[in-house]
Amino acid sequence: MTDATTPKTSGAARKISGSGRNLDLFRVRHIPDSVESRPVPLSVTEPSSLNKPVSKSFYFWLMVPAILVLAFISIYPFFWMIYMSLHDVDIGHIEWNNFANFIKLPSDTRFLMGWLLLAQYSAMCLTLQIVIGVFLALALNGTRLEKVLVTTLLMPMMMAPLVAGMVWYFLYNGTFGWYHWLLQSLGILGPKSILASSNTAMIGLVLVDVWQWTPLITLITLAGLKRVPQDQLEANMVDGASPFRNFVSVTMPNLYPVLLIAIMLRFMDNFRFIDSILVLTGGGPGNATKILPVYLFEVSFKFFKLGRGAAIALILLIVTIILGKLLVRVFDRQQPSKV
Amino acid sequence: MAKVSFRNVWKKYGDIPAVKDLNIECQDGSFLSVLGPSGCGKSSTMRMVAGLEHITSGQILFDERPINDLAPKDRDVAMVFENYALYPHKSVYENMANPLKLRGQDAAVIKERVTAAAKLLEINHLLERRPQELSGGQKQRVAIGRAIVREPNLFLFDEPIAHLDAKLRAHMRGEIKHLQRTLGTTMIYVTHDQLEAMSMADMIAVMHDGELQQLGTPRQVYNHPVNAWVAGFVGEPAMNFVDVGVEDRAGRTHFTHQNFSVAVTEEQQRQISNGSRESVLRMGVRPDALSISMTKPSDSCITGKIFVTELLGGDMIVDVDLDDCRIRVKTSTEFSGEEGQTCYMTVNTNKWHAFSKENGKAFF
Repeated sequence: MTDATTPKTSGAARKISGSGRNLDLFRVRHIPDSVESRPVPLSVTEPSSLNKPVSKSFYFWLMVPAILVLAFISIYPFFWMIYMSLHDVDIGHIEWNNFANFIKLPSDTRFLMGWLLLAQYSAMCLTLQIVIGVFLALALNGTRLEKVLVTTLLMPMMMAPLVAGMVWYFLYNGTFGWYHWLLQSLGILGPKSILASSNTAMIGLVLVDVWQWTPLITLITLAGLKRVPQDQLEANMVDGASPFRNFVSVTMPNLYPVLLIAIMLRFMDNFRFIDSILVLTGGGPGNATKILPVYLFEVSFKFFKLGRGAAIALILLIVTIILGKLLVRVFDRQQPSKV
Repeated sequence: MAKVSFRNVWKKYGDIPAVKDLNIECQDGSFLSVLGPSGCGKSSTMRMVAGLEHITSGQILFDERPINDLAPKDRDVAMVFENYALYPHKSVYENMANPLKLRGQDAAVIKERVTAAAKLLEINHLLERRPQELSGGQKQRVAIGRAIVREPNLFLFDEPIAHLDAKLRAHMRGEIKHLQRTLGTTMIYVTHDQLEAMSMADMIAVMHDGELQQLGTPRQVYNHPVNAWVAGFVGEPAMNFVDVGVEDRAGRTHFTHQNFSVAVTEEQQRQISNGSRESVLRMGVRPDALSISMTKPSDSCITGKIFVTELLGGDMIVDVDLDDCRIRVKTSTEFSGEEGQTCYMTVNTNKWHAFSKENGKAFF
């Protein structure tokens, strides 16, 4: 009902209702009298600043500073990287080299090994983190000390990866490292530090990553557990499910989406966080832990082959994007809609 | 199918009792409705039967067999939840097949049972869909379907139709009642809607503040409420309560008020004098136990002023102002009183009630 017709209608309704009981139905009951008879002001005196559409260009100018900053720190380096990857780059000398940076890569065994090691490293980290993280979340969920324990658990995550690397470097140290002593006493390790043998160095790195980032998985899983619908769990219990069955058929489907997010975050981190690795092994012993990002760092900033480094970086970026896209697609398919 | 008994059942959350000393016998194959406002302990009661809630003390028995320590899956009950609780990642068929699957039935048996249940509930064309593609009423049917695919000891329905719109709710009331009669399975049905309880149940257990107020057939609960609280909760429009004085006039007890003075029947007089000697009682009259007219029928009528009239299509509700309260009268649409006019009401003294002012207990 528009403003203009309201007083008219209600006036008519009042007349009708006055003339006979059984026409009472026509009365507009839900509109209180005070509203009906309120005079409608002829001139609109509403504050003009409210609800007035603002021109689009205004919003654009609001965004300009952000765009500029972003362009400077992110977009410009990105294009500069592409540019470098296509050239021979030396100090004071840049020369087009007909994709030589890319063409040489397939025959670079350390580049290929880098991929293999990165895959190994990431797979081990993710598996351990997901399994331990989910298990911890399940153990913590709903316990009385949940909040305290979660806060405690999060501490490793708060540490800068570089610092974490340092701490573990000391713990692993072959002469005075406490963990080294422990592992040795248990007969798991020989006299050599875990990082000193090419067979075990990767495991040492994985342990650090697991130690630092499992809490993130736990945190995300806990959040996921909170939104598992209680009534579905109960319905399934009444339907005849054992607790384990209940977990598999109700809890897990609700956890998939959050776990996918966690996996995505972690695999991307594995592809770019090398702080602790640089501190702990620097890619050694030999090339045993030279995962691709470490190799990239070496090529660019130790050998100073900026062009080749840029080419590797570009490929790493493209692979990351493709894998991310794939995960998002799986995520979209898994996402259960609300009931 | 089973007989369900509650023996001195208590449920406490911390120190706060939610269900206090509940004693109910629900006969095999009957339809028991647990009725009460929110927070009265009715849902806790049902969840204790389902095994979703620990029984603080007392016993719940199926056919005289205590089930306190059985896991939900071993109690062989089927429950329908208020918000359906369907599994969103499963199709309707899989949802309904779930209880059978969990009990290790053959695929052929599952298919047969699910199809039969779907046919009964008229949802056989929806079996391939996912819950999110269904309307509220359809989801409800699926939830009920999931409960009836196997033959459980007991159905537990927890406000199953509370979220449906009024028209569909009225329809589903009939369907659920018919379903229960057809299957013959004992049913416990929790609701806050007295109309649902009245229209469907064989027995109603009215609960308030964790205590069982009255256990009886719908007729008993409606016609002979044991206390003022039950009387006020059951019935729509609600019962009118008027505080009246008790006076003896020529050997007959009268209920007196500024607006009226009406004699009670002999039987009722005996019930009052047996009960107490309170000088003020609470009189309860249902809106349909009053007849209203614009002319004075006799001296023992109630005089009042019309506050407002409400036409409900088939009949009319008239709100009448007495000196100190307002009462509602149900009458036919022929009634022609106008707002502000004086009107006269006579009470059907066979259908009125008197409650103690002190503890609310009914005298009659």
